[in-house]
Amino acid sequence: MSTHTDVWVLYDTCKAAGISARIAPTPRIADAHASCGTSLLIDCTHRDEILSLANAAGVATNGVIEVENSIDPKRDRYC
Amino acid sequence: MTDYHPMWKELGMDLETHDLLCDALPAAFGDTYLSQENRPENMAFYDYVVSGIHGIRPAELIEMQKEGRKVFGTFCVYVPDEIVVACDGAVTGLCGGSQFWVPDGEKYVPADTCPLIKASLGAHFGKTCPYFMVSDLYVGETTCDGKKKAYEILGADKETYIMDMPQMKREQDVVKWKDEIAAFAQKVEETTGVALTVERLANAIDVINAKRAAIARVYDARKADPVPISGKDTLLMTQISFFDDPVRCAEMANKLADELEQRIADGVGVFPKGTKRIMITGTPMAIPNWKLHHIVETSGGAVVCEDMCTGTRYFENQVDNSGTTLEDQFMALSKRYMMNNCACFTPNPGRIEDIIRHAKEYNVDGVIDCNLKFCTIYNIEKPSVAKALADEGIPCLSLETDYADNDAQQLRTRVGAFIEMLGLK
Repeated sequence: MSTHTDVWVLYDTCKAAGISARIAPTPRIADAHASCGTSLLIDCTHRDEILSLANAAGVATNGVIEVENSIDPKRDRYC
Repeated sequence: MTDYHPMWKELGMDLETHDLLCDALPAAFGDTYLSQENRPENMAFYDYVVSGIHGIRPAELIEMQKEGRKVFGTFCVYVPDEIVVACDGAVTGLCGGSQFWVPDGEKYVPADTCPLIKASLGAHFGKTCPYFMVSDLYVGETTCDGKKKAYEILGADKETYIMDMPQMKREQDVVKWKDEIAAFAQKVEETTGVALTVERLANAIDVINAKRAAIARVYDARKADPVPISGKDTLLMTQISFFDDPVRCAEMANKLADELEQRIADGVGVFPKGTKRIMITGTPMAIPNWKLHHIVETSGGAVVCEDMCTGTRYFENQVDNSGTTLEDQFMALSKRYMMNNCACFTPNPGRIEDIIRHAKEYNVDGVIDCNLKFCTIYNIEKPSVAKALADEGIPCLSLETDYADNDAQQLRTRVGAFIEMLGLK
């Protein structure tokens, strides 16, 4: 997301529309310049709907990145 | 996307090395937190803080400093935040909870030092943590020998004020801690340039008491079955509370508690009713140390209470705010803080009493007593903790670990077997 305000606006917009979303650290494949960024984690099936909502709400995004199977609770890699 | 690199550079951080830490966070947080189902919506605030953990709050602290306010970095729940808040300062937690910082710490202390100390030193000397870099003054305390020596090392590089924690809990020890708080107040006044008054301190006591009450509401909700929030999420809330503005911290914890109380009313939980309820006691878990909670909650258990500094000790017991002189208020602070039962005290029956009380209040099926490697004081108390729990018929698993990943599978085996055994009770 472009700014912290944007992430909150889009998160609240998704919630109001009944679409599940979670604020998350930006995956590194989307942020080569590691910078502690915020992103919104969504189900890819809602991609177009959420982009429309973002547009309507005037939210600037840095793009949508698909990260397939990137979450593995049994990986046991901590930081 | 907000680029914090200029801010970090201004703080004098090692950007190249720090980027490696930033690299590791999204995957670790995803695996540990975002893999959970049916999380409370109000965890969004805490997810947001983590996503900008080294950017958002440090930027706020820098803005405060531009207004002439001061930042106090602390390592322990015995340091009274009220004094700093009363003098218009900010408190930020500094304990290191990541293996990332340990190698840099081992350049300054022996490898057989506890990982929390090594990580804290590593974060400072490696210049890879903005909370260390932004702090105007470190405030240490004499709660263990390792920390005492570490503060000498830190103090040679940055001003470090030490509070001399009593080692016993006699009446004269409470008076001694009151005098230490008075001396600390003088130091805070000198550092901030703000004169401490009864009114200022009373207001600050109210602020911190409100924060404690809000966190207590979240913990109270965990007494329900099904439990409406995971142990991991509660741990995250607590860990972030050490860094956050106390008024906002209370507001966010209250919002979360509102949601949890509604979940209880609706019978909504994050684990099925009857999931084995685990309490964890032992050494504190500084952010981002989520390993044991994650292993428990991905092995069939639910963590419902932490009897530790990053748990009940942080919010239990309010400070009496009826004092009309600073001396009265310092004594009220001393009495409250001396009710914390760290393993640094001798004798230490209070910790055992707390563990038994919490085990009953939170209706736990079993207790995991876990210390970080080389944390001698908690390790030595293990047999007495196990005996007291056995006397109450509460199963106990003793563990020792550190921040590294390489014992995770062994821990999974032991924790999994323990939870399975609880099912056979």
